[in-house]
Amino acid sequence: MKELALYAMEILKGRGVDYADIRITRYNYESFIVQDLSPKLVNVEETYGFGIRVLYDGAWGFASSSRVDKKEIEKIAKRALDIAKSSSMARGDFRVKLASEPVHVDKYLTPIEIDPFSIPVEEKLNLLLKINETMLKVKEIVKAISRMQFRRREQIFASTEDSLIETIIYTSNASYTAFAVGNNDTQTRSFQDYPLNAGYEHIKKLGLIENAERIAEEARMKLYAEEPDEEVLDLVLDPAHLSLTIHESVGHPTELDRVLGYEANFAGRSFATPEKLGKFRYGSPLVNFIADNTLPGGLATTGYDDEGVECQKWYIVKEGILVGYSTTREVAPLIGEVRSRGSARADNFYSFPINRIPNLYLAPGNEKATPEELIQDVKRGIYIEGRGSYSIDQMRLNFQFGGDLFYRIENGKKTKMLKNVIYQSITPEFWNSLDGLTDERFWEPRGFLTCGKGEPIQLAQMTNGAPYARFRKIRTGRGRR
Amino acid sequence: MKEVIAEKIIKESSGDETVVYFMSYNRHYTRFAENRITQNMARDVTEINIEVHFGTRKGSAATTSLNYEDIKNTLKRAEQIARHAPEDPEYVPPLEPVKIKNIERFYEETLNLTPENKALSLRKVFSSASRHGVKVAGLYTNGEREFAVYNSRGHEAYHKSSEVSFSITVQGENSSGYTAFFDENIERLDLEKEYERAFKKQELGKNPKEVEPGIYKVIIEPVALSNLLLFLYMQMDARAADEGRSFFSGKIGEKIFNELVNLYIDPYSKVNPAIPFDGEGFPLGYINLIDRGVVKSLICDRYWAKKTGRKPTGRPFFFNMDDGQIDVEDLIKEVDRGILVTRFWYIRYVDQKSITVTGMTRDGTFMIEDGKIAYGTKNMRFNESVVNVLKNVLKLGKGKRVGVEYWGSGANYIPTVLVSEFNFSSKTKF
Repeated sequence: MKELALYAMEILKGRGVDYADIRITRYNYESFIVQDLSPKLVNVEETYGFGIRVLYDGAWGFASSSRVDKKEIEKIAKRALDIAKSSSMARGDFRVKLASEPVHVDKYLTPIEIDPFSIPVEEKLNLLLKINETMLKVKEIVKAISRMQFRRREQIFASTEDSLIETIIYTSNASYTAFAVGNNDTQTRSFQDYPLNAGYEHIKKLGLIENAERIAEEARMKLYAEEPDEEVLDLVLDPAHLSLTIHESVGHPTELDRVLGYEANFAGRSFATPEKLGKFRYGSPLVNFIADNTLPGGLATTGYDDEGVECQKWYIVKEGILVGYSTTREVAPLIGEVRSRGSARADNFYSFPINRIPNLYLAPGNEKATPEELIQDVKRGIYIEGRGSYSIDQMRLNFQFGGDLFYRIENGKKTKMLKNVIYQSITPEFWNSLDGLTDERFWEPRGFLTCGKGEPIQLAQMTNGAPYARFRKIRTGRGRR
Repeated sequence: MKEVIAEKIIKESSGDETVVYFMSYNRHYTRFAENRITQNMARDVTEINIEVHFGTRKGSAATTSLNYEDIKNTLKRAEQIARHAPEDPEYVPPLEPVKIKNIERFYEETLNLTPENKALSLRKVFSSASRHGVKVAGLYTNGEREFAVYNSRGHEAYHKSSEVSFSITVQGENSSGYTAFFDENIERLDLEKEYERAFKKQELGKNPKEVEPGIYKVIIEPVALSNLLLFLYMQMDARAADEGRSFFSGKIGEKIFNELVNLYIDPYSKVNPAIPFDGEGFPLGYINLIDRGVVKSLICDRYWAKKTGRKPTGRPFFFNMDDGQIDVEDLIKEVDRGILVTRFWYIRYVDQKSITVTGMTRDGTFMIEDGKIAYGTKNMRFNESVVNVLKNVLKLGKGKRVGVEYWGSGANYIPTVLVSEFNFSSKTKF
């Protein structure tokens, strides 16, 4: 693989390109879905191929192939260069100039204890069957769906700047959902996606079986829960829930490519424009959002990004003020930054790397505080666990979220269970209403395996973590009209 | 070539049954933004997925390699995991051979469009945009897809289609306009016309005014309606309905929607030809889902059909809704006060049982007063049941094909609709 990557770069160095790189990538996947007691998906998959990216006369060309040999590399290198030449005919006065990056010759491997691919298929499927069996024993549970996914990505990256980076990344994940029908209603409750870049040891620690009955019971209890009225209330949100709110209202708006209009046709733009950098009050002074692609187990912890930039840690929001973006080598110089933040990711060898959300988390509070202590200070509010419905406008301002489990808070205590709760706010108003955080003991990393962006759509992975947090005076209501 | 590989794999397989799936994409994507090409990509990938059955145990393995040794190893892997998979109590054997009538959806000229020609035609659009003082962003795709299924019982399904799609967002200082095109034949695409359409929306929407959320009469254009209907269509599953998990539980035969509403599957439709079989090679025909507002049938897979004594439908991905003869300009004349929606964004379920969804408007939302577009509005969030939307249809306008990106290249055929009430629940800042 290494020789072929270097060969591609030698060819392109001789063709007068501004820059070029190649990724030769092999993905191995295992995917299992069990519905009730029926294994619906028992699949292994290998994708193997390469993508060559060429910058010529200030414009990009990209071509890919799943045939990995010298002859094909020659053909695809030429094709990528020809496409770049076509692009340069329609680039106007703009020329792509890449932020500089030191030359890296390195290897990075996800530290794992147990190779997930070494665990027998039947062991994994039996675990999923047992989860479903447990859930289906609970009254009014009509359906149980459980899933496991494992991924290994082996990649060689080489560039005309002489970087040569070999990476092997492992990702492991399991989740499940119980469906309850009764009381003229349908409700679900999930043990939600908790993927990490880790081995099978992660699955063993999740407590999958131990939680199955509780999850199913909670799905059933939701059938008989009350729906809320429309009210302005305080909210206490758990880390799993907040990971999605952070992802949508902080992660996406601070991707610099969308800020600069690159995604205007589909994923959208952003309100967090560069003139706000260093000035704009994104959240209350308690709010610190840290991007960290070196976070142990983080889904974007890959050593280097897909254009050979080393993974880094930096602030996006510091003490409530917008101070940073996720960037790529193309967009970083457009706001005067000298180095990319290493946020260029492609979802396969045939995809062009684009600006993605890094591992991004809300830092825990400095003062000792438990979730119960956050709740104690709420007269009337709602406590929300887990992810539910989610939607945000294309500038990332107006959002509406649901959740997976809800309790009313009355006079400092969690009381009745609720269902079909939604809340709606405007991003900076929401984060400015935050007035309480739990400390680091209650901080949790949660992740996303299918963050969609780009055209054609690409699915990226990143971890978004949080402690529990309290928000004041948020508009809440019920999901049904 | 595919047939030969499939035959060899099936012969070499030790499984009781074997199914071989091929999916090939040969596509060229040109992305643009800020009046220039930003990404320009060629993708040529074939994935082979081999499914092996031992009794009721089943497993599959996939590869993107076309090297026969790699394919043989993929077969071995499929055999290995199938042997270790648990028995499937819902097992159905592969399909028996059945002839599938082909649909011609391939135009060589669509493939002949080169990156250079695309760049030249886009350059004209960019120069119009610069002259008008606006910015354009979008995606221009051309290429082909092939999908094939072969099984050990002798069933074969093969479909090849070409595809050209073009979408464009024109952005002015404080307004934007969007349009999208999908077809198999490049000759039906007029890039300048698409630009003009989106540009006009942007012009009409300049200096948008804030509108108070509430219940409004709405005109929903096809791109927006297609995305709403997807959430209704996903609920039209016989098993989910029988298990009480869907809005459609117990609703067969009931008149739920306005009698103008006809929703159906028809891959052989002249207005919207589509792949004539589903993901397992099951032949798709006409399926009447909603007939003059009455729920006629639901999508039913082979296992559930056998269990409940129904006829299986296959699992189609594309659907059609009958349109009317009225141009959108004439629909606008029918509205004393209401809102026209070009595009919805980020639609998600809020409550599946009532098919209540939320989402935002974008790229062309207008206030209609006294039968005319009065002004562009700032965008709004809605919380509305798709069931109510179809209940409250007043008139149908002309339809169009709206491209849908799934495993098979294709589109839904969707009308413009005038709806008596639609719930906008909150507003945003732009």
